[in-house]
Amino acid sequence: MNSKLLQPLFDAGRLWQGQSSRTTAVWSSGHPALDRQLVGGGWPAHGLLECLTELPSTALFGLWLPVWQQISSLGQGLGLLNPSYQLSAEGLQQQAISPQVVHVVRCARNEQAWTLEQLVRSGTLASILCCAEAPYQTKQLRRLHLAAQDVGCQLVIIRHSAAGNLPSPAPTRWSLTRDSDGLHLHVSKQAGRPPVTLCVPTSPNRPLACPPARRRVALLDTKTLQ
Amino acid sequence: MTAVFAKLVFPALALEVLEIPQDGVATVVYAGQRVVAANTQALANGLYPGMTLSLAHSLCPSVHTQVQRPDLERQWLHHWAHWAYRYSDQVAIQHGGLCLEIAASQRLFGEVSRILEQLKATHHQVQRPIRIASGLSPEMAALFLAEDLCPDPNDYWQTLQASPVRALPIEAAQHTRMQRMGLVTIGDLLALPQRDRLRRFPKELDTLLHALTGQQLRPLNWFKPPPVFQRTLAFDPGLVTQEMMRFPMRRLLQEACQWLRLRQSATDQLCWRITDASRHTHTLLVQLNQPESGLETLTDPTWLTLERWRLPSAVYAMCLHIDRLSRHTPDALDLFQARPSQAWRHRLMARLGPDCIQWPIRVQDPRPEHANRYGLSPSETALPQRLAERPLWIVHPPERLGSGTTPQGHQLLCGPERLETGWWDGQPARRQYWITRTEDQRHAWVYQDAIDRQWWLSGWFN
Repeated sequence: MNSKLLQPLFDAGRLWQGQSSRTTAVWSSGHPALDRQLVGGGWPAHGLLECLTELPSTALFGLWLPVWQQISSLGQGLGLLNPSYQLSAEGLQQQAISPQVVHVVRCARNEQAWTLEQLVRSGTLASILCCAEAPYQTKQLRRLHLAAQDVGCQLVIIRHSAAGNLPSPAPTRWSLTRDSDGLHLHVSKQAGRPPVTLCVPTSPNRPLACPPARRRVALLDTKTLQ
Repeated sequence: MTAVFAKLVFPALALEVLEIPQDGVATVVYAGQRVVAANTQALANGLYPGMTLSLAHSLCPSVHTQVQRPDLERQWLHHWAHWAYRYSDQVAIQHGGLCLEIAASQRLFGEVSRILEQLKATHHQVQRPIRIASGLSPEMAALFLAEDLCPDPNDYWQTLQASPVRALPIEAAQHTRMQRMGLVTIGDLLALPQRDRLRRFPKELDTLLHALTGQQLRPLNWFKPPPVFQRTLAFDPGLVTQEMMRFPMRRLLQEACQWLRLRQSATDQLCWRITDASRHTHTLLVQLNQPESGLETLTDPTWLTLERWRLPSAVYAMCLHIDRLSRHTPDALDLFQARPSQAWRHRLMARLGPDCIQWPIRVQDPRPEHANRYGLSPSETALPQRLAERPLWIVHPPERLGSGTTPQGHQLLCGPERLETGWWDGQPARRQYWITRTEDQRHAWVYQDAIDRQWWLSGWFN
């Protein structure tokens, strides 16, 4: 086997040998307990991520704040597609996210897949959060995932819980629910790790407080995961 | 640096503007009962420019004739002046041709002979006849062109001196007079002392000789690209599909890009005017996020806008109009730094509308619904030093939550934050803000209006 030809794929973490370790770029979730359960120690920094929930999109946004804080601190672009409410510049600034890097995009429901692909392929946005559901086809999701992987962009989409029964090309899927203890995540799909469930508690008086987080590139030993 | 002028003449211009094929039926173009131009077939039948129209008819009874259109020729020369402007910023439309100063262009395009070759090559590619000559003045270049000479820059002077006096554009009587005096070449004429020349010939000849030798250049009316780009293409039969429209649109965009480059400008708006069979004109606006001048950055949003446009029965004419210009300064980048592309923004704006991309901005206003807005460009204002916790999401307009002691379905957690402001613009606000928790464990930002005691939902934290 000519390893030189495959080396770029190894370097990008898209191909790895079963008996060796691979590199995965991740953004820390901001919650150490959750990081420990996620492959690589955080949310994947590239590719499609799927959140299955019936909660409002604001819940996912709250969960994603630490990731966006890290990206904003690096001056990289962020994208928000079809948010339900008006995003507050004051709120963002208080959460150490610069409003200048947040692109809020609105489009019709039937244009959502096309718009997401344009945003992903722009190469200027490190993370994109799609707040509105849309009836995605599998080939659309695969296309979005490949685009996000190519460009090195994190694309998070929200789907209704019922879509959990449908196959999806997204390598990371989790369902999100909430009760008085906080947010409950059931990570049903991630590369090289069985499903896991955990709770991210929320402080009753400081609803948005979350621990500081830093981006890291994790060296993942696949042998230890088996 | 000594100026060098190139003179370009298009011998088939009169035929080309009338779209007369060179190898079709014998056709001549006439003006004032004289033949101005003849195509190859007409020349083969013995017809030539300058002969009378009646003689042409008697020599070739089947010859087709068309009247000359100087207005169209001017338009074409204007078009070619645009093209020539890429080689020199001194271009003049002169006597049915173009005149360019090319000495200053040598650093960019190579020596004079190389520039002349480049000028020829464009027209040879499309088999358009062109004649070119260069000289130290427009008059010298024109004289060489008339004599079918194209000397090297080092030989201009010798070639001029060896040229016959009959090549001078003066009255025939003066030619005869020179011949009788034994003056055969221009060199002979120049060898005469100026005092003798002035005594024997009119003063205009001396002025002509000064212009010819480049000692005293006559002012030329230099071409300047117009401040507005407007170009129209007509079609017969009309275009019936969008695919058919793309080819002429791309051609117009190429011309527009060239025009923008010449003016070192960029535009953020393309205005297409499309005429249908009933002569109704549809306007198609292509709005860009920022001024651009590249072909790809202009074509992509144009196609997306075109896709969303409903085609009339048939398109008979299209016009591209550009009048919004801004100075285009290329970014100073190092060798390995790629310019961040803005094409995606243009694509989104073309398909989703000009305000599809927005940024959260903050303006100086104590009222949250006024302070937090969306803007079409990013901007950042520093937060006040003591600002209580703000939600990430603003509910605007606020939702009514009843008028009890607490808002319906909400548990008060933190507050109150009192706000009494807005007296200056007729929208006074006297409110008490609270952070609350709903029954489904969401954290909200609500306020009670101090005037009517109503509770309102103003924002969400999560």
